[in-house]
Amino acid sequence: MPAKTKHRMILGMFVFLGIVIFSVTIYLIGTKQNLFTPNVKIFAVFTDVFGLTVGNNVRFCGIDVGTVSDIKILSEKNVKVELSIKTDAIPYIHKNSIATIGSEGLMGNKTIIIIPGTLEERSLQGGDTLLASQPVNIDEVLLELKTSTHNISVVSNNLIDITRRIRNGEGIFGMLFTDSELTGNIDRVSQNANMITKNLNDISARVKNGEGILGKLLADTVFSHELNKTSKNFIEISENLEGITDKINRGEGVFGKLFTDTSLTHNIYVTSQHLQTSTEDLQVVSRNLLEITEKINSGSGLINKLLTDSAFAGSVDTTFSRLNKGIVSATETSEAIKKSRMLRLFSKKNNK
Amino acid sequence: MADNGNHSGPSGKLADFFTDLGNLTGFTADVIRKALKKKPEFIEFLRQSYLAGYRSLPLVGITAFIMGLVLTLQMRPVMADLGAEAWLPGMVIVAIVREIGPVITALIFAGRVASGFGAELSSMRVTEQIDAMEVSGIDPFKYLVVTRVLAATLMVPVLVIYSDAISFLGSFLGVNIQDAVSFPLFLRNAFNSLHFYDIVPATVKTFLFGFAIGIISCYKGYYTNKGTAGVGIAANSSVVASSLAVFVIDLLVVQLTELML
Amino acid sequence: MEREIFTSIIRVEHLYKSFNGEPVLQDISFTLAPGENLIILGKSGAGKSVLLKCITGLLEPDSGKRVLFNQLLDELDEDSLNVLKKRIGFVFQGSALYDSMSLRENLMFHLNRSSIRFTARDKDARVEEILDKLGLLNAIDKMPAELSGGMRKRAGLARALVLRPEIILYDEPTTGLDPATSREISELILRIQRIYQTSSVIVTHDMSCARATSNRMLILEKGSFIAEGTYANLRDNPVKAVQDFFIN
Ligand SMILES: Nc1ncnc2c1ncn2[C@@H]1O[C@H](COP(=O)(O)OP(=O)(O)OP(=O)(O)O)[C@@H](O)[C@H]1O
Ligand SMILES: [Mg+2]
Repeated sequence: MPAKTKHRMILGMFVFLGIVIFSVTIYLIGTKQNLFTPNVKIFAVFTDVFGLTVGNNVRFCGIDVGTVSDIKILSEKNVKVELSIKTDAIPYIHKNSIATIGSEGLMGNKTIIIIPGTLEERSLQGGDTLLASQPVNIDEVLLELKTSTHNISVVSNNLIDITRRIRNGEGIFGMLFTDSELTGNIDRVSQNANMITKNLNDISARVKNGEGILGKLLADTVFSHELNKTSKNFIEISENLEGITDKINRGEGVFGKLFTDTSLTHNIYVTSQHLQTSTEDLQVVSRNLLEITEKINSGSGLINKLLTDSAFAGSVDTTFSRLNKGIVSATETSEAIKKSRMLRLFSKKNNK
Repeated sequence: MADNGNHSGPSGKLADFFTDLGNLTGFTADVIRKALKKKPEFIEFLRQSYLAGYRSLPLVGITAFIMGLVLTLQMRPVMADLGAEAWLPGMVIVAIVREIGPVITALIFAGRVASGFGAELSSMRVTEQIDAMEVSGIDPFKYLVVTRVLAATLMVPVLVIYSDAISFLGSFLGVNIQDAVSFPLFLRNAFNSLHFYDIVPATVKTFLFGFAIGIISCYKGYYTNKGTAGVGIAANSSVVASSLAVFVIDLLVVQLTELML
Repeated sequence: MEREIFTSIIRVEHLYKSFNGEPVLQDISFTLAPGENLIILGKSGAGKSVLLKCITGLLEPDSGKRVLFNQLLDELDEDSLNVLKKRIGFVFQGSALYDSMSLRENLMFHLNRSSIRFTARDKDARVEEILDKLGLLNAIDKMPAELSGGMRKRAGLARALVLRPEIILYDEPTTGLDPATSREISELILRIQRIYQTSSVIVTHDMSCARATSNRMLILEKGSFIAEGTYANLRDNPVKAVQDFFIN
């Protein structure tokens, strides 16, 4: 019967197409997990894998080249991760490449990132073990960055205050610097501060240049280390500065003894110049950061191009806006200090 | 086998429920036994597959397309707030593949096919067509029930595949209403979020849905005993009971996969 | 077809059946001889249909023996029971045509599932022969819903006959038909019996049909037989319940 045959054929097509769609889906998922492409197994040993799981991607030069195929605990401090790498990517990965753990975002999956080695070394072979670099925890970096920027804003305000007073108050110049060691300290410290703000400036510029927060901040561990180190230095140095400037502000004796040596007038002037530059640099940094955060906020292009991870963008956003706020409030504070008791104290001294 | 549905037992709703469940279990065992033992009524199975499966495609397709589209549009503001529109396709696809595709398709299938099975079998029972088979030595169970249960079991998964694929297109449209995302990129985003552990339980689930819908609606139809009024009751209770079964199975499968993964 | 020789083709002994505690059949015993036309007369609700269903195994009696073709029904497994059932034709009160199939398919459905293997040509020939005999040949590709009441009755008959059963059980073959059609059906039953050499049980409350077709009559009243005899015998039976059938 023709109608029946037709129905039979339609049913056949219906089921066939369904199976085809299903198979294609399975294939697509499979290729993503490298189930159907030839691959090579290599290893890396970490002390902590930060929640890495089987199936996570392996990235090389920002390209997914494989997946994590097994994770085993070797001992208390050693976790052996087996990586399944696509055969065609193997020739480009040299023996001295470094494996580290990154994430596809703060909220996202963990990934193994293979930092390219050098050409002198031979390419990888199956069963090789890569050098592993323990990843930097981005949360810690951001936290430190936040603390140091807060500190620097306090410090820079104090410095601004002092330099203003030095420049304005002629009466103070009369009782000028005697303690050269301390002045030297201030000088060195402010130079450091200057350098550090330059670093920060650099960083924010790089971020702004769109090399990708994800790419740079997360994938490039060298950079992360740098950032980390910088912010750690910053904390220490700015704490130093804070201590000194606080003392100066309190005017405890130091102030009387301090400004006696006229030969140091020039020094302190140079110092104050440094401080000025530092604070100006700081302003540039904050403006850069502001720009970035604004772009992130408006979600224009940048977010899709650079940051596929919203949560990370969010936390960068908050960090940077806090940083910005810190600088703004620092400026405010310095204004307040100018009008404060201290200044009046100086004026009184001046009047005497 | 000459049981005309005189499932009278102790009175009370709860007792009725348990009697019903017990009978249903026996019925299920019969279906499985006869499906395995006897040579199948292949032609009738194909006919039922055509009617239940292919004929449901337009309804399933339209619903799936709208589900994909609407889900995408509804989820967009949330994802946009998080600044993660790029995750939208993956999010929607996972929701569809894991849950919405199978469940919505099963519910549509229950509405369209279970009611049909219930009404058809009960009217055959009432007009003695089932008796007519039985009295001539033809196993009506094998011809009517096994074929339908089998058709439902195999057609729901196929329909779900279509449903998922069509929801996909709906979602693609939904994404493109606001953004310009190419289909390959959309696919990439979607498949990046999809894993085997999404596919396997979701697929297993669809077979269970189909089986449950088939079993329940055939049971309700096959054992009608209230004359012509019974036809309506059978159709109605087929839909209600099999829809409920779909949700219960869904819950169980979700819990089970949680345990197993 | 070679037939076994039976003294009785159906033997029922002490059959009891009740629904929800209400007795419908009580102590029913009878036999059907080969080639015999047995009429079972009874008012509506007397339990005639229930009796037929118990005989064929559609209903399980509460107790009693049923012997068909010398085989005890309760002792048969499902498969041999199905083989046995294929030797019985059942004409349902409401025809019970498969309404998703055309008339041809209704008949084919049974032919295709017979124990005998037919060629496609044989099957077509058989279907057409039967339908021709019953005057339904021009309705062969109609669906049951497109048939008139009388045609449905005949179609039900055709379907029961298509496997050439040795016993045919008729459940009210003429009820609800006009007298002319009713007579036609009665004649048909007789003719079939002559052509195919069947034995039949005809359940009815239509006296003209009973008179036309019967060799022997049983009268069923409230679940048990109250009288037995030929049409002539029973017409002279003084019992009120028997006489009720002969009025009008
Ligand atoms: N499945 C059933 N469940 C409960 N009671 C039933 C069932 N089938 C029949 N009965 C009861 O059995 C009795 C006999 O019914 P049956 O159908 O045999 O009557 P009948 O003699 O065929 O009447 P009619 O001439 O109207 O067909 C009726 O009282 C009916 O209510
Ligand atoms: Mg009856």
